[in-house]
Amino acid sequence: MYTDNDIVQGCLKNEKFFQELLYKQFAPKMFGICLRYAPDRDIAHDIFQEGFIKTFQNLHRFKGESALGSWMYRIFVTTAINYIQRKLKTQFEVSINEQLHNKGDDISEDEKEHWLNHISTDEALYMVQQLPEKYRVIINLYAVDKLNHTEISKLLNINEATSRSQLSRARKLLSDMLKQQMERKFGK
Amino acid sequence: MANKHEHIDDFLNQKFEGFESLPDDAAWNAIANDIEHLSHPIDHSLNQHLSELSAVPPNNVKPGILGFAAIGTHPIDIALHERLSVFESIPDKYVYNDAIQSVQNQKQKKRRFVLWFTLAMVLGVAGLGTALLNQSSNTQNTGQAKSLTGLDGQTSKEPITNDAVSKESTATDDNLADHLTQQDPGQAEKASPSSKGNHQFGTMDYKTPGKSNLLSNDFKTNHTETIQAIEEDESSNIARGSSPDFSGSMKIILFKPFKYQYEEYIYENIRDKKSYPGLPKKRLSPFSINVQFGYANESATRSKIKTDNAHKDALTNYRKANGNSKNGDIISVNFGYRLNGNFIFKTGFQYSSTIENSSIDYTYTELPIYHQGVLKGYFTRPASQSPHIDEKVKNKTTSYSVPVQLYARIFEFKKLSVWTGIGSELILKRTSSGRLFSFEDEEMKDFKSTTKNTFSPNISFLFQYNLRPGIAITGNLQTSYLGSKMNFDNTEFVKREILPSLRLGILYTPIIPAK
Repeated sequence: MYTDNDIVQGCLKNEKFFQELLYKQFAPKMFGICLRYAPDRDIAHDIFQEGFIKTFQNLHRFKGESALGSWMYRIFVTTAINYIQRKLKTQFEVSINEQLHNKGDDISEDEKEHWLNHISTDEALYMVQQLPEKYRVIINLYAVDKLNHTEISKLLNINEATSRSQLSRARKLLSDMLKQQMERKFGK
Repeated sequence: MANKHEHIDDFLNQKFEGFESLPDDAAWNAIANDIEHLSHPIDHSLNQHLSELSAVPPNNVKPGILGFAAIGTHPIDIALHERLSVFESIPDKYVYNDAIQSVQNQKQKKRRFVLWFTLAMVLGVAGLGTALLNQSSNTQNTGQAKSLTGLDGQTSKEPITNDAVSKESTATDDNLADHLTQQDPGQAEKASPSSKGNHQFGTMDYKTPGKSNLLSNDFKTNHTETIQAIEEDESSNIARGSSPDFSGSMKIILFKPFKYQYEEYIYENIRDKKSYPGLPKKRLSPFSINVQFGYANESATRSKIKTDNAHKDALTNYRKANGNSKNGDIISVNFGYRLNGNFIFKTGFQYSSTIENSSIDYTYTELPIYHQGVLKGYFTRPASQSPHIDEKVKNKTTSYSVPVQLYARIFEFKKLSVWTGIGSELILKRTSSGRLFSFEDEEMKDFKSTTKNTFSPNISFLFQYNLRPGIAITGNLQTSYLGSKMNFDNTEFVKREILPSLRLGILYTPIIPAK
C-alpha cells in the first residue's frame, strides 16, 4: 500500500509504476468530476486529459498538506471551470434581466421530493449535463462540491448575488427537467 | 372637592411614610443564591467589566453561518449531492494513452516483445511442421526411388533384413504439443465502486470519511499558491491543441488500468447523445457469434508403422497415398463470451474437409518371407511377374470438432485489434478415406479411418476489424496439432500432423441497452 507521498515522489522520479498507479487510483473519481461539469462525454474527456496533464506537470508543487485526492480534485474542478470559460465562451455573470426573471418552482415540494427520491445517478447526471454551462457549474459547486456563495463568487469571479440567482435558476431548470423526466418515467 | 382629595393624600402619606416590613425568608434565600457567583472578588470584577461588553461580528461570519444553514436544505441539492458527490466513471482508453503518453511508450516496448514472441512462436510451430514434413517427404522419395529401380526389372541387392522397417518404425516421435505454450497476460482489476456514499452538508464540516469525498477544506484554504501557479500556466500549451495527437500511436493494451470496465472498446461509438450524453445508452452484449470460412491445410509431420512384421514398402506406400499436404475448406461457427475487455472465451462448432490428390506407382517385387510369424526377409521376384500399380488416388478427410479457446487481446490500433488464443479442439469425428495398396491382396483397396473423441491443441491469432458497432470482420490464423492412427491390412499407421488454417469471417455482437 503506497501513501500519497510515495506516489508523488515516485512520479517525480519519473517512475512509470507510480505514474500508472496515480492514474489508476484517481482516474474514475476525476473523470466523474469531469462528467459533472462537462455537457457531454467528449468534453469530459478533454477536461480529464487536461487535468491529468496539469497534475503531472505540477506534482512538484504538491506539499502534502492535504490528501492527494483533494489536491487533484481542486485541479480538476479548476480545469473544468477554466475549460468551460475558455472553450465554451461561457460568462458566469448574468444580466439584470435574467435575475429578474427568476421564478419559483411550479412543482409542489411534496411532488418534487417524491420524484427526487426516484431519480437514478444516471438521470441526475443527465439532467445536470443538460443545464446551460453557467448553471451547471454553479449547481455543481454549490450542491455537490459544497461551496458556499462566497467561495463560488471568488472562484468564478462573480458577485454573490449572481451566484445565488444562478443557483436559483439552475434549480428551476432542474425542477422542470425533473418534472419531464418523471412524467416520462412514471406517466402523468 | 379639591381640598377633600388633598386631605386623603395627606392622610395616606402620614400613615405609610415610615412603613417598613420584612420579606419572607424564601425571598431572601433566592436573592442570596442569585448573587452567590459574585461573592468572589475576581468574579465580581469580571462581571462588572464584561457583562455589558458588546461587539459587532466580522462581516464574513454571517454569510458563513447562513451559508452553512442554507447548503443542503434544498431537496434538489440533497438529491444531487447524494447521487453525484461520489460519482465515478471510466474515461475512454485513448485518454489514458494521451494523458500519460510517456508511461505508455515505455510499456509498449515490453508488450511489443510479447506480440512478436507470440507471433514468432506460431510461425515457428508452423515452420517446424513444414520442416518435419519435408524430412518425411525425403524419406518418401527414397522409397519411391527403390520402386523405380524395381520397375527397371533389376533385382534388388538389398540383403534380406528388416532393418529398413525397423529404422522407420523407430522414427522419432516429435511432440509438437510442447511448443504450444501458454501466456499469462495478466488479469484486469475488476471491482465496482460504490455509487453512493455518506451524505454530508456544509463547507464547515466537509470531511467525509474515506476517499469517497475528495473535496475538503483544503479546497478552499490550501494550495492557493499551487492553483494560482497552475492558473498562470493556463495560457501555456497544456491544452488539447498542443497535446499529443488524439489519433494516437500504436497501442498495445494488455492490461486494464481501471477498477472496472464500461462495456468494451467501441461502445463510445454507439452513444446516443440525445439521451444520456455522459453515459452509454447501449452497450455490446458479452455474447457474440463468429462465422468463418476459410482455407484448411493438413501437413503430416511424421508417419510411422507400429506393427511388427509389416512390409518394408508399406510405410512408403502409405505416405504416397496419405502423407502429403491436403488442402481444403474449413467452416466454423463460434460463440464467444467476453469475460472482460481483454479476454474472450469461445466455443462452437467447426467443420473441415480436405482432399489430397496423389498417385501410386508401385511394382510389388519384394515378397515377404515369414518364419513362425516373424518377418525374416524378402524374396525378389521379377518385375514382369509382379503386379504393377499405377493409379491416381484421392484421399479425403472430414472433421467435426468443438473448439474451446481463450483469447486475449494483445494489440489494438484504432479499429483493429489482435487477439491471441490458445485452446483445444474436441474432435467429435474425423474420417479419412481413400485407396491404398494392400500387400495381402496385391491390389489397391479402399480404406477408411475414423477417429473419435480426441483432442487437438491449437494456438491462433485473431485479427478483428470493427466495421461498425457490433459488426466486425475477422481473420483467424490458426495452427493445430493432431496425432491419428489408422489400421489397414493388419498394419497400424500412426501419423502426426500440423493443421494450419486461415479463416475469414464476420463477428456479430448484439447491442443491448446499457444497465
